[in-house]
Amino acid sequence: MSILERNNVKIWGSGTRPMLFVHGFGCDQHLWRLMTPRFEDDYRVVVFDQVGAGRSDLSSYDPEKYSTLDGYATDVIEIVEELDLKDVILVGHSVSAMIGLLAAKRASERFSDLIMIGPSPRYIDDGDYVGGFTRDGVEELLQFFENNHLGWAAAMAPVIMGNENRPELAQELETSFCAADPEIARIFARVTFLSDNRADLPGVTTSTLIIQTQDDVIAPVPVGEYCHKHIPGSKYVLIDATGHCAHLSAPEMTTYLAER
Amino acid sequence: MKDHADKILADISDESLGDLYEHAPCGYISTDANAVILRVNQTFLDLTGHTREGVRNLRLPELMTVPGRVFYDTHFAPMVRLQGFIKEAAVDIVRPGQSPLPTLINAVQIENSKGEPTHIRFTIFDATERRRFEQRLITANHQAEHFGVIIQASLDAILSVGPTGDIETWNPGAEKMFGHSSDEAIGKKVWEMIVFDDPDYKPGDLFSEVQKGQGVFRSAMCIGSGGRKMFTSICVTPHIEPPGEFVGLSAIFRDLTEQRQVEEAKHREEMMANLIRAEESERRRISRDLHDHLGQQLTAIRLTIAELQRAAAEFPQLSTPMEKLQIQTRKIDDDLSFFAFELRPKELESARLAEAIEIYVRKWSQNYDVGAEIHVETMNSTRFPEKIENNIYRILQEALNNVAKYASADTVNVIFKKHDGELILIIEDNGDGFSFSEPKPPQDRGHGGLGILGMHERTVICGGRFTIESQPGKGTTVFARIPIGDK
Repeated sequence: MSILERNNVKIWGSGTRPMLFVHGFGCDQHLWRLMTPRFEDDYRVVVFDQVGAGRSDLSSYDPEKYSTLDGYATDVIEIVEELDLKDVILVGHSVSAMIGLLAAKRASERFSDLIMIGPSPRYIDDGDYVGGFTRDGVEELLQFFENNHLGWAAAMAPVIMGNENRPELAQELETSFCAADPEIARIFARVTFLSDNRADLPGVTTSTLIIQTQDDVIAPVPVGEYCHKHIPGSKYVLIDATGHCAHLSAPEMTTYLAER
Repeated sequence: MKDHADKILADISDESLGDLYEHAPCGYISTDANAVILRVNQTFLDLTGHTREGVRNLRLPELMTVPGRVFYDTHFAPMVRLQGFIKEAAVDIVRPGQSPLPTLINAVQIENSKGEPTHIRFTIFDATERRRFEQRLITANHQAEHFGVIIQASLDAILSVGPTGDIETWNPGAEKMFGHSSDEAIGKKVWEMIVFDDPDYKPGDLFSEVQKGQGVFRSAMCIGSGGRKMFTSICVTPHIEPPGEFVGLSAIFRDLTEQRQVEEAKHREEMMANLIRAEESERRRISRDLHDHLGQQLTAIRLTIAELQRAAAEFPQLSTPMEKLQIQTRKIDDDLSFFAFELRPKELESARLAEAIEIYVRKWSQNYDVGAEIHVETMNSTRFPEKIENNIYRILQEALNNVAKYASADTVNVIFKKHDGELILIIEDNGDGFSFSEPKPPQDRGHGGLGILGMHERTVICGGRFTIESQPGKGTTVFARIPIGDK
């Protein structure tokens, strides 16, 4: 199983400069479906599925490796190296803004820009730090994901199980969006909502744009401001939109990239 | 009939669409593309206890619990936006003054002619019962997982068998016990995989018994992996479905070989303890009889002899035999006293153990004419439990008896001390010694006592350790260490 197959990597676009889109918890590469058309004429668009999501190879799931965000960052670096991408603009949504940040720190020579949409280095409040969730709130959230297997399975059907042995399923899967293995999603939720990457922010050397929406329950405004304050030289845009949706950020990204 | 149906249809046709919307059997909500609530039906308000004014201009996710909101933002919204719909999303809706309502939500996104989303329609179903059922299912699942872990980790062989004897499950315990992997065993007949070491009882017989609906609990010798014979307990439960059909069985085999060995050893130990107790009480009785009856009669005889001696003073030819008789009788009296003392020393009852040991070694040394060095630590007035005192004393006697009878030693060294919470007794001789490679050390032949085995058992009864060191020509040393739990 090659790295490109493992992460179901897709590449297209008329430009040469690579733009790597990294989806977060809850969806797959389809998340970028509405955004990529705005960049495919000028860039080389690269999207992929995190292991456990979409049409990634489930047999590559290693509970040890993916018990931290670093494991996911390793995959990002491996994809970049496999394709020998240089001068990469990494666009990370939600938890993958942090995964992208970790990758950019570990392989800074590969990345020119880091665009973080709705990033949060820490979801749980801690002293003066406002993360948006109490410890109990996160426990309740994880419990919800834990107990919601059946609800999930229905919402995100079809669940992909051992699809490599059943190629006839491929056609059907093509039409499914944001499918996820419930057990992996449950663990990914834990890794996402319990991680603390505040200490990783100050060491970022890649040019960074932070895009924050007004009313984001997952990463509220003070979290975006915190990232901006602690990532050296970062740009910060607060957009007048609600929710945690990535596709709304396209115009800000275009402006930022035009000014670079 | 048809008239009746037509009439009902006519009535329904009269039903206004507005009424249908308001009182449909599920909640309806219409929002703009960003989920801001535009319209909501009465059923939703009834289900949740919200008011029309209260929800107006709120975003639908704001009516969800925090986990529901996170789910909405991470899963629900992207899917509606990207594929245009979502089905059966499980989220909880907050209710004023009540616990959140578990719901299932379907949504479709409506687009304008340019393909841009304009609004979203939601249907909301009360899923309280379904969620409760799911919760039970999840709990049952967790339980099954836990039981699965127990079965996987169990050292017992646990298996299930179908109605015709085909093995269906075979745990790692079974793999280890019977030497067949689960791949080998599953699908095979149970009597091919499990063999009893009993010509009159075969797994097939066991299966026939269970097939009749009988649970079986028994023990049997089984042939395990590598031909090892195992004493196993077997517990078989038939699975019966109404109206009494046999659909399979589950069986647990537990290897009790080791446990049985331990039990046998324990039994032997108990037997030995009983034997020692019996020996002790028998010695006590004999000692008492020797002392009280024979001793008194002997004293009477010696008095009579003395009387005779005085009376026979005028007959010189009787003087020598009389003298001899007197000496012989005294010797018998002395021997009798020593035997009685050996069997049950009064000292042990009246004196402290250390003193009793010292007295015994001196008397023994005198009696057998073997030199003795005694290093006994005086332990103030400490008394130990009777069991310990008795057994230490008997070990000393047994060891010295062995020296007297087999060792041809000219000195023994007896050490008795307290060290590190233990009483330590060491008896060392400079005699012949023996080799452990001989079929049986001479000391073990017994001579009225229980030999080395007896000393060993007496130490073990007191929770202590017994060792013996010897080499031909290098003497023998006996060590007994008995804990007294007082450092």
